[in-house]
Amino acid sequence: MSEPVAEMPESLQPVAKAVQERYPQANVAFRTDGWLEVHIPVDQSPEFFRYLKEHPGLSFDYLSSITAVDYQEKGFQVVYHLVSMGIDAKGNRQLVVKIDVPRDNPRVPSVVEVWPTADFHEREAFDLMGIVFDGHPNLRRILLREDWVGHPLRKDYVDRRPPRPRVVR
Amino acid sequence: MGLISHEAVPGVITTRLRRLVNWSRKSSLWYMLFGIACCAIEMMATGASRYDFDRFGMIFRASPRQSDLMIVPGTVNEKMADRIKVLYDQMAEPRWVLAMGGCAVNGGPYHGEYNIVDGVDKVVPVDVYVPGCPPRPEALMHGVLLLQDKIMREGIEIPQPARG
Repeated sequence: MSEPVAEMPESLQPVAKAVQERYPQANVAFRTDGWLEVHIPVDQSPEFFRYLKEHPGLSFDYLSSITAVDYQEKGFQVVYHLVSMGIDAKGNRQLVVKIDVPRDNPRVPSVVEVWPTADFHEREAFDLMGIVFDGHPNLRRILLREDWVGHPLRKDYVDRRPPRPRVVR
Repeated sequence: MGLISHEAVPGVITTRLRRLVNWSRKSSLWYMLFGIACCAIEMMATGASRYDFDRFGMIFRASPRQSDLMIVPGTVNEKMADRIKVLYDQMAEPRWVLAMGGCAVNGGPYHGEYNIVDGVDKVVPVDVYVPGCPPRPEALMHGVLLLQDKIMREGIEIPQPARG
């Protein structure tokens, strides 16, 4: 854990400015751990991510992870961690993008078209949390077996596997 | 030992055939090159030169069809359980299974979690349990010595040796 950062570093200021200008409905905030956090509505994806990746001043070319959080009655939150490692990136450029989705219909657009590495990340979030990524080319379970029932990282998951008896020779 | 030395004919011993078979089996326990979690690192250390499984006549075999012993070193999850069963079924008799580490014994730190099989004895019959997280090479070797004792007793009535 690094030291808390009080002010937004210079490298992130153009990012915050560009995002806020282009997407006024996005909620941009700087976190003291050095990450820039952006909340966007679900209908902005994946155009928002394409802009982050392809805009020459931003060039967030590396998708670090896609995860999901279960906030129970508040629904799910899909979290994207982006890092800019492009040639024109100067200094620390890390970005967290969060999308809130309702619990009864957890669907977000897939970003596989933007970053191909999202393929396995989205399959994992689908497998363990049950987030459906629209437009994913191959949305199957990736960690659990194919006939698994339910999504075990959800807070209301109940393990209904039958008990296995001990095998004796 | 149950062996009789004939003074008249030096170099000849008598024993039971069953005992001879067991002795040959326990002295060349070829074990499967098979690791599923961190315990496998400790198993490799046991097989390497410092602890040296070779002196028990134990060498890695990369095929279950040539193996006598399956050491299960690590967490057994639901997806892996089917594969372990297939590997066990491919081994030729006589075959033995050693559960190495807390995970393979009963799930260990993951006991009761989703996707975890609580012990490899829910999938294949286990002969020796070696607890630890992970067990040190000495513990694994102790487990192998216990298995050798068990093999020597197979099919023969031998008083159980007292082990503290």
